[in-house]
Amino acid sequence: MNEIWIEKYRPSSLDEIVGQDGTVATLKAFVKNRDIPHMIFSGPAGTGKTSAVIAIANELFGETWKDNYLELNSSNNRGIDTMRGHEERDRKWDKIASVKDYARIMPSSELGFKIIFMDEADMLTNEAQSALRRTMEVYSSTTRFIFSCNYSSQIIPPIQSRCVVFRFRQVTPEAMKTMIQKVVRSEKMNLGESEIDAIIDVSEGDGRKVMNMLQAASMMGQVTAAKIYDIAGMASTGEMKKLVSKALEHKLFEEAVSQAEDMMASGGLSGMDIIKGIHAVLRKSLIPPRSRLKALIAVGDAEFRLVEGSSDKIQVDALLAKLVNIGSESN
Amino acid sequence: MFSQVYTQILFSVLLITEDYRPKELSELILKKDAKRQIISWINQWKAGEATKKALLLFGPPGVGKTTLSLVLAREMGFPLVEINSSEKRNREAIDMVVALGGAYGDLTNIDALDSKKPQKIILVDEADNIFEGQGDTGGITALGKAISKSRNPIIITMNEFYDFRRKQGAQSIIEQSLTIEFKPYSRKRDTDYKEFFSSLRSRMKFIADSEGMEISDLTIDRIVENNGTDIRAMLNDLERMRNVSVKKGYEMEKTRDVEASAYTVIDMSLRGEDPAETYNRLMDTDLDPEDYLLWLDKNASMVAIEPDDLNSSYDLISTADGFIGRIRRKQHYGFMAYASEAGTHICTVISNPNPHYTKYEFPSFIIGLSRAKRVAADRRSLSLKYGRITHSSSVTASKDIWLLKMLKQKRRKEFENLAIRLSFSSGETDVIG
Repeated sequence: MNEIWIEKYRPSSLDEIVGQDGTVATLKAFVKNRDIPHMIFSGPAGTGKTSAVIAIANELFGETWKDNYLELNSSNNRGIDTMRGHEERDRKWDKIASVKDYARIMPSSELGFKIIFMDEADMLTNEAQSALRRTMEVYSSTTRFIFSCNYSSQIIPPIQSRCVVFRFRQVTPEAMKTMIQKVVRSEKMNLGESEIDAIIDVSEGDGRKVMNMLQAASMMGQVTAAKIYDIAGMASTGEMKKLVSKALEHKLFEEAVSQAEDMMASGGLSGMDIIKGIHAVLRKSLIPPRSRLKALIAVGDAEFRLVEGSSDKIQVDALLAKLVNIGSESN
Repeated sequence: MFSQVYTQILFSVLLITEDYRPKELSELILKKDAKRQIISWINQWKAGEATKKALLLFGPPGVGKTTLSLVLAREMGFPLVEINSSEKRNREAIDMVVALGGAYGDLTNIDALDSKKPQKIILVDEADNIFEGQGDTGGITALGKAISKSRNPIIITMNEFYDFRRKQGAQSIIEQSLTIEFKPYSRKRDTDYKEFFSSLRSRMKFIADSEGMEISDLTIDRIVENNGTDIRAMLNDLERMRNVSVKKGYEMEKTRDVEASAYTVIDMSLRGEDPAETYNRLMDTDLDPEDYLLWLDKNASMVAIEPDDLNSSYDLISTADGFIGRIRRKQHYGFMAYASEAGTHICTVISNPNPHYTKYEFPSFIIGLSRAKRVAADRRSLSLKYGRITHSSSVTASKDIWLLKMLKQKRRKEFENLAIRLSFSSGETDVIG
């Protein structure tokens, strides 16, 4: 059951959640009262939003928590290939319908309610959110909704007004260290200060990344800070960096095209994945700001065209051609 | 479920491709040492002491793989039982064929029961189309077992051997097979090609004569040239010429060859001077606008070598692709013309075309596309499964695939436990790397 550390070290109680002291204190008070309001958890990735929801369900329902808990990820129904138009909306409506069905079922818990957790709720369209509003009202006696999102402003005001909003903050390095040391002890790992600092550094306040890096470190043999930076590069953007540098710095159009083709054909990435990846690399790249601006606009343009266009391959290649051009203008 | 190939021939007896299928091994155009190996394999079977139970033939379409099987069956005097790609080849299908035609021999022939000698040849045609998990679940593995149980020779044909080799269960098939690459000539040796070419030319001429067709030598040459190694396609071309009333002195255009005309249109689009003329030529080809754009996408960078030109030409291709997208969404086919026109005008935005001769290429991505879709689907289902235990969306989960890869490499046991718990398919495991 514990092959993956994100799962293994997922907090089972609110006390184990690090770096969100004020929020956790309030949540604990709710749990103590054996009732919770509808809630919105907003904040960056990996700050403990999902963990808090699971901990609450655990503490309220005990062993039967899974019977009284439904988790829906709002971005999951956006298929890699079906980013377009009505299809997407239709699927969301489907899901809203299923939420309604679940909300209708009587809870088995003695508390008289169950929890529906809508993860990444900011991915829901306004129409879908509006449809939820009614469900929340009708079934509020038997169902509590918890929404997670990166920005609460992406949740429509009528839903916000029915919820208590909690802001999850970026976890501080000190709090991260507490979490890391707990894992290090439990796994009997041999990690020095500089390696721990490297893990915190590459994880950028994201607890999920910290767990992944720790598990990776446990498989490394001799762990060094340099190895951790290596792995982090590979994990997130290594291939994408190569792709961008082929196009932008070395103007190797054909090589870039064939790498991108390979990422799509053998790696299973969609054109949109590649465009988003290029975007992430460009934001942090050290090219002259003017070129970067041009490149970023080009990426935005490519994303727009991809949504409009029909071929991932052509739109990705056209973006790479543009990057080659921007690269040659800049020197 | 399976059929006697002879019946198929009966129905298609009016086609040249069937009429002139070689009847003897000597008529087949095949390299000598390959022929020798096949003959010795067949002799071993006749003597009841086959070391390899199956014969695995691979090579491009239309070179005679199926024909060879027919010829062998004829020479041995056995019926041929065939399963081909038009029938579903899942486990049960293959098991059934083996039960009826393989391991248990022919139940109606009591004498044959104690005989070690085979009674029929089993042909598994186009075996590279046996895809796990697409209605052919377990097909490859079942075929491997079938071979080991079979008392009859099995012939397996496929186009792509190297892809097949990597599939689950393929190894056992390969170990039990005499594997022969079916290539009419080797590209490295010019004399081989000349030999191949002249023997085909005389064969085509012979067929044309027997059919009483009046066809010039030039046209025969064209037919052979146009189709590479695909003899079936050559015969089909000949067939078509028989059906149109052949005027005397008629010379064959390069008709069948879609690629040949695509090359011209691509060249005109990138280097031409008259986009209107290019447009007319484009309308004459079999290229649909989407393929046309993929051709341009593949080849534009070979002519537009300067960054500015490169950028402008790909910008046009991408704009054209935008129109195709709108056709799809709005079901408004009026956009089609704009997509094609954007393509034919690329020559106008390339100010300094590559001065050197360009060899255009077929857009390989078209071939890779179905594979790409399959991999993308595997990646998504893998991410969904992984996301379920880590409480994350497939998008977030897909960013952790590197960790699964590390686990697979360094903690085999744990990875296997996870794979069992989440029931990873072989495709999903492949995505991990």
